[in-house]
Amino acid sequence: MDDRMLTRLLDVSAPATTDVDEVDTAVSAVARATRPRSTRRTLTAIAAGGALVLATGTAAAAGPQLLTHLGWFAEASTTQVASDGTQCAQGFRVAATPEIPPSPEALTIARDALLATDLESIDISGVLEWLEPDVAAAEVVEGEPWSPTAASVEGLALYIALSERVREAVAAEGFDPQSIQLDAATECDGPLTVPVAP
Amino acid sequence: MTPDALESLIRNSARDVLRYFERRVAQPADAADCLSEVLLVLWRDRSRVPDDPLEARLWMFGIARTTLAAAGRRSGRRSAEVERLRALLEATPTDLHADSEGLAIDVREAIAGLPEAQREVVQMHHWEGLPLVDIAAVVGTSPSTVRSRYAAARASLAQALAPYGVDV
Repeated sequence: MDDRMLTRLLDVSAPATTDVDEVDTAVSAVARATRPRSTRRTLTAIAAGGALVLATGTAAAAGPQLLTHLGWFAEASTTQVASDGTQCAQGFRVAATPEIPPSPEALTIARDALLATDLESIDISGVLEWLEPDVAAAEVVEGEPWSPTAASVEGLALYIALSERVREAVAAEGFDPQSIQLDAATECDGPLTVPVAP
Repeated sequence: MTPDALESLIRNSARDVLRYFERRVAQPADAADCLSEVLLVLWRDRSRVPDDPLEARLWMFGIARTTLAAAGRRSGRRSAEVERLRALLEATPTDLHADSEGLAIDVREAIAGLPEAQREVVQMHHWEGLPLVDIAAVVGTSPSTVRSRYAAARASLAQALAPYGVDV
């Protein structure tokens, strides 16, 4: 038996898979169900890897150890004025995803990346562009905790950009970026929801 | 990557990614959860997916590779669509090649005995049919590293499979 025989043995060793038409149909259905159709769906997808909570109220000036309205201390925080003039304080912290416990090293790398990021100058223009179709299609639903105001969209964009940066740092060191999530709490001095006509 | 291009990528590659999981997870139904996770990550990170279709496909396999590490450990609510796929994978018998299955099991055991980095290259090359240079992109290393891992793996496998007449 020669080298070609070894290749043949390896080729036919592949475990069998479920090759019936019904699986193709079911895979297509899963793909359709996974596609975000609006910003709310995008948020659902994002929530798989982190937690973003917005609140109205008085935006306190963010200090180095901002106590968020969720009751935890932020590891990094910023106060920014959105393009509609709304002032928002945002706090962030690195956390472990419950599904995939990260290594202590991955958590440290993620925190270092968060602390090394200048929250005032991080570029969110690419994320805003990416969000644009979803924001345009977003429906304003009474009672929904999130609506597409300038402040909430820009807050969301900062959260996404920061999440990507932290996860990229974790992946660059050979750890699973999905084991890390970024929690965020945002408080703004203006309305975060669009008024709904009675 | 645009939503349309991402949908096209998913349409063309989701089935292959499902097969990738089916060949590796302990419980066939878990492949459905893994596929769903990969698709969620693709949509969430779509700004990072390469525009080139081949690069995007390899990027998708890279996501699948990291997702596999957590297979069977995920929890949470599943969509009805994922439940339906899980049920199908559980209920449908796979096409076992009766003539060669005994031999295939022995070859798989020989592959399983390889160091992880070598095993991964052999499986992706022979089971998914990925060229070595593409495997390098999926695992995030150089083509020369993948080639040397593959050569070492073949040498070990030839030795392990000598009883089947493979020349050593």
